[in-house]
Amino acid sequence: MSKIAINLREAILESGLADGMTISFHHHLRNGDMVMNMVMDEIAQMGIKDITIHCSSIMDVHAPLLEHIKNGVVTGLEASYIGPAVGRELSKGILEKPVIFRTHGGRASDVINGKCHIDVAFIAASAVDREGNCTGKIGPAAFGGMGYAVADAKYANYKIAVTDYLVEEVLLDASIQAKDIHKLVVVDQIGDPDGIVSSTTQVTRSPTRLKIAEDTLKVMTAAGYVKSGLKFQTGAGGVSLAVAKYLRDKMLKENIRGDFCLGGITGYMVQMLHEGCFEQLLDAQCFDREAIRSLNEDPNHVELTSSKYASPTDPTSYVNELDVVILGATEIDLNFNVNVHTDSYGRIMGGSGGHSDAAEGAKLCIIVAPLMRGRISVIRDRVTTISTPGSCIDVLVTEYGIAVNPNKPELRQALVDAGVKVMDIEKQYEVSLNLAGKPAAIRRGEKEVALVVYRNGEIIDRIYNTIV
Amino acid sequence: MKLLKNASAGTDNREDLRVTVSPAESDIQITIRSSVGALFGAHIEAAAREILSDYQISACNMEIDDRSALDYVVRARVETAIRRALEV
Amino acid sequence: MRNILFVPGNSTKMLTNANFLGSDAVVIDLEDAVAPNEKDAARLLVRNAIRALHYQVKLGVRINALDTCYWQQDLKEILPLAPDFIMLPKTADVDSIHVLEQEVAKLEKQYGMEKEVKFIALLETAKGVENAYAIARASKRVEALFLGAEDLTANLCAVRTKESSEILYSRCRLVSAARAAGIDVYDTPFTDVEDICGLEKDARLARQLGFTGKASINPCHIEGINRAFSPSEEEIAYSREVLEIIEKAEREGHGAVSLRGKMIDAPIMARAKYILKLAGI
Repeated sequence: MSKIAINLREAILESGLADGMTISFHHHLRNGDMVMNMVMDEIAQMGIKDITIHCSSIMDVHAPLLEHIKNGVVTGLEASYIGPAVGRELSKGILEKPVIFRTHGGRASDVINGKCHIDVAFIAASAVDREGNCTGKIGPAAFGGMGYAVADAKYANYKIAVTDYLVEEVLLDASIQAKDIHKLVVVDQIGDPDGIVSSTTQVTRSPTRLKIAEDTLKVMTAAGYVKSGLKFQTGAGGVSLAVAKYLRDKMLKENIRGDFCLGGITGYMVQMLHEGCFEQLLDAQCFDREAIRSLNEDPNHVELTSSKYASPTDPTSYVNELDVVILGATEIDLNFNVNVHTDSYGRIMGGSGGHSDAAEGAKLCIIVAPLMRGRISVIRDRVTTISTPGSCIDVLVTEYGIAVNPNKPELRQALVDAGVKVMDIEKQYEVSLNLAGKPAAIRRGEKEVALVVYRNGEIIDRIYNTIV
Repeated sequence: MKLLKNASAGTDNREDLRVTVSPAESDIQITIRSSVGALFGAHIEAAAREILSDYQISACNMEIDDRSALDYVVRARVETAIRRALEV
Repeated sequence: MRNILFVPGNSTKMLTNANFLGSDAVVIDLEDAVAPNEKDAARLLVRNAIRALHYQVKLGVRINALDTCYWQQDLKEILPLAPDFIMLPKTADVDSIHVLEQEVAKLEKQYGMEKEVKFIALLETAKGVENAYAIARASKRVEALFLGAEDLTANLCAVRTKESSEILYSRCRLVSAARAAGIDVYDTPFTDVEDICGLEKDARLARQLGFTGKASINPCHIEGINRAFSPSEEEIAYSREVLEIIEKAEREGHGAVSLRGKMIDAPIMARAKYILKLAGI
């Protein structure tokens, strides 16, 4: 029988998908993804119900899921990140079963070790050959690596590749091998390029954010990490990118060559690779066209599976080798616990992604955030949701100053010795209270809408419904 | 003191607020619309009442449209509106 | 101060963030940045901001000019908060300083203030430029002169250019007057926000002419101004050598000293000390 299905429906029928089963998707197409909505529409039309979706991330473009939830087509969700469009509605309690949040690494680990059983994996690929070898590196909807899909491709029961670009020649540089694919469906379009890749992110011009970035580099330097062999991870936008810029300037000035830059890769990091700042880019996902191009062309730009990137059960996963990671937060409390799942009103608008993975693995974890976003302070006496425990968080840098976790007295001393001014988190919290007052406690409901499962498999926190 | 006329102060910019006051018969009515109302609505009202009290105003209608302004900004805008409403 | 950043007195965001904009000093502007019908609002906003924000940078306030109906009310609201300096726009002559001083002294006594507020005289008219030396010496409170080239060129009927030869005389005159009076002097802001190269060139020229520092109207100019007004590594190293060699000579009882064939006399020693002071050493 040909591997190529006539259409999506045929593939789904072949898979034996039935009520109550679990299906999966990856999120490399980000906010340009059309595959999940397309597949869910088909499943709904086929009259299949009670499906659990296990997706690495659910983005705002997946808002049509809400209709499927209403109609009982989807009754369970598992993800490492859920954007606000879907998240806020989930916070109202529209799902009977609580959402299961994992980290990227935790998800991979649980799929591999069987804790997560996936009946049918739908694997979007921007190019597939007739055998079923899949890649995300070429094609009209190219998105780069496929690291988040590899575990699904190996361990799900039935695997369907979905593409809009069938190639005749055998794909030699495939991210997913033909032997792992049961069926292949060719559709008109798997994704909107404008939603898949962000346009090249500019370094922020905001003076407060630049100050935060500058101070962050001071911390990294005083802690002794800005030297040859640096193993580094930072985010894609805002302050995180500005940190990369200041790091780059210093590395070029002092001829420092780092080992690798890990995680989500942007054109800026590609530039740093070319300029000799790093030996390699270890890529968990590509954020822009420059990153995709580089992954295609540069042998020093390496694609990682999410397991190799961040699995808590694989001691060789790269987060464990990190020297420094720069991360954000919606909230941080006086114990340095960090929240990236919910906003100040308790509504789901994110998720750990690789946050906890990198924070736990890295020797130095720095949270960068403005102290005040309007009247809302990033520091609370207690976070609304614990995403990453304070034991993993070493430093908070805001425009007001640098706070060091008391569990790292040597780090604090190193900063003081280097002449870097420290402003304790309690003092910064006090400043925010003086400027804004203490925010009223948000009444929450009794229904558990989500469980936050940490890297060690334990439930680290529960998210309850919001009463608006 | 009695407010002599309607007056307003502030802007629609982010991290600012618009305050409008007008004379009233007997008591103080404050209506607050705020992007952070659930968190800080009570604070905004308390600040407004404090300033009304400082100016010994016991009757007024006040409307506040807040876009996440800090406390010092809320107080400045409320006081400006009150002062303007006290001028002939 | 290497740089002074102007912050509009009616911008809540900039007032809140003035501490973090990277400048040595901030001037909160109640004059040109604030529309006439918002002068009252800006005053209260600025008053509250200074109270609430505990500014760490050196803080000045530009009040309205003496020929307006606003300046006295500006002082009444702002003075009790003890800013580091008041900037007086359109300072044309010695009388302006005396009028300001009289009002300020009266308010300082009324409020029981211990510290005397200083003045920075903003010279932006031909008359002001010509009277620069007298203005600089008009009061102990005058701690600096500041050139305002935009209004000045209008007053001169000149054409304002980036190349700036139309203000060269005024720049030099202010520097000369300020140095003769023993006070500081600040150069006019560079008005093209996007042209960072042009800004750096302008700042280097200001340094070359002898200005203490330069004002700016946008935080993105601060880095360039700092670069121009901070001593280079070579200057710092040389200055250190100069002072070391002088100390050594004093210990060993020598008189005249030379370094690399050049006589180290009092002016060179003074400059070395100035450089190290600028560098914060």
